[in-house]
Amino acid sequence: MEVTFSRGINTPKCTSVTLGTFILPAVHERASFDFGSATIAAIVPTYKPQALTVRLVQDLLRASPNLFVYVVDDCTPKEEGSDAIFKRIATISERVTLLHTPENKLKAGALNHALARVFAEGQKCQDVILTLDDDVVIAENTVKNLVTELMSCDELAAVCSQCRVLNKNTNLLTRLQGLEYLGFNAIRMADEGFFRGPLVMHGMLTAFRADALREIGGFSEGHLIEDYEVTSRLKARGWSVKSAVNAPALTVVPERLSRFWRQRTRWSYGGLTVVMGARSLTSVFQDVLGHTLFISMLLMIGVLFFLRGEGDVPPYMTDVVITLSLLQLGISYFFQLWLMRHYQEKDAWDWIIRLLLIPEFLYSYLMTAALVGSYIFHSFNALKRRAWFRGTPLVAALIGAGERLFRACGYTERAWGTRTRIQI
Amino acid sequence: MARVRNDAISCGGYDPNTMIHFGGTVSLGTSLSPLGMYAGYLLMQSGNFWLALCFLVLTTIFFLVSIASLCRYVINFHRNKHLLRPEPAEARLLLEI
Repeated sequence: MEVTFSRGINTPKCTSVTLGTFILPAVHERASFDFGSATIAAIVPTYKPQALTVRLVQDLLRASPNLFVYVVDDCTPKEEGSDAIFKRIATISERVTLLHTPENKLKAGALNHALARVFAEGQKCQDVILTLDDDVVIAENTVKNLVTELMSCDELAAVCSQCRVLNKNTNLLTRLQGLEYLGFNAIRMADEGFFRGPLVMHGMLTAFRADALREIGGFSEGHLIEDYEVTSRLKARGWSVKSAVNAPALTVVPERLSRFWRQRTRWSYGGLTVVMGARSLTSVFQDVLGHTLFISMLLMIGVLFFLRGEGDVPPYMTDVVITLSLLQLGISYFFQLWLMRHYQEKDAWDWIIRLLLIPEFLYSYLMTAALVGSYIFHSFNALKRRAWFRGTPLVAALIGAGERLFRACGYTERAWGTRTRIQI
Repeated sequence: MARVRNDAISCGGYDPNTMIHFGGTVSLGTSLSPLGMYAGYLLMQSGNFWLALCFLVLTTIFFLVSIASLCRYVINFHRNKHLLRPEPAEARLLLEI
């Protein structure tokens, strides 16, 4: 479901999408922008907030006197601690507004609930909408750098922060995620100016041009990953997006494998549904390419296992395949090592993990398993929606059993984000 | 990770498997590539020429996509180099954490 807002009048300046950007990314024209003149609304949807949320609101208020914070309580159960935190948040400043959703709406719904309020307050006429998770820690200049990057270029609809891991040193799993997030930031930089920019303006902390968000009607509810969905719609409308390399933000990642797995199945399956539903393939181009090659590889291996030929494969072909694979692995490995120079939080353990390569290989196999599971889950859901398939009691029982099995494996069509408690 | 997000913070959306490829959010070329190449190598020893050719084409595309992404990274890195030095505020934050 999309919330209807009054349409903005700004028409995005279409960034060209050409194959040339495969190698040479497009450049965004820039103009100077005075951060002090920007009016900003920061929306923090929350469910069972913790002390980190209070700190986040305080940090946001310090970022600019023209910044107003909207904390949206998405029906947090009345449990010990939450009420006190909400009361504390509400009394921090007059610039903080505490909203409550009438029913549990998940993140996209909570964001839309606040957006309706922000856009209704016409007299304030915000320029920028910040969307944040409630467990984010920001640096002093994060908001300033994000907003300046966004507003100094007319083509941009959204600019996301750099993502870092707050609880990186907890265990091997969190360290691996820390290294992975370093790669996320590198991917975003590689995708700047490529098919209108990175695939996802993440929900952790992204600055949206208010007019662009108004134009597309806010966030689409009912998606597992609303940030990817909203990015794809912005890009389909001709807007570009990018990440701000000088806007760091830290978040809390899952510390247990079970939570981590649930998170990744949600991301994986959620991403697949966004690609399948995308109106413009260029807006999700990187994923179209990725899924196509990945599935081709799977099919190819499957076919090779079942078919035998005449043994007439020239040796040079196998040599080229092996050489290219090794070359790719080698280049990637040395690039990952080089990337460590930008990992400011790194310590000796991170170096060991990266140098060994094997932990990250195992980690990536886990991700591959989540992806393959998503393909199967997607096929299952597509099949069960077919009218002809649902007729008999036996089929209904099989569908029920299948749903229970997928749920047990962490796959669902509606889910909450994982939650990791952290002390500050 | 954060709580109110049916999405999750999706740093990068969902699963940009970053070991090898740059680009989409699929584990393109990462974990499956070495395994696939090995399986392809073994099977091509007694395999079908046309399937081997398809495998070769696929491997080449994987390679080119990775190299193109690396080129874009290097170009964008140089364009943004002046912004990459950590600011004092960022350094303070990291020390505090």
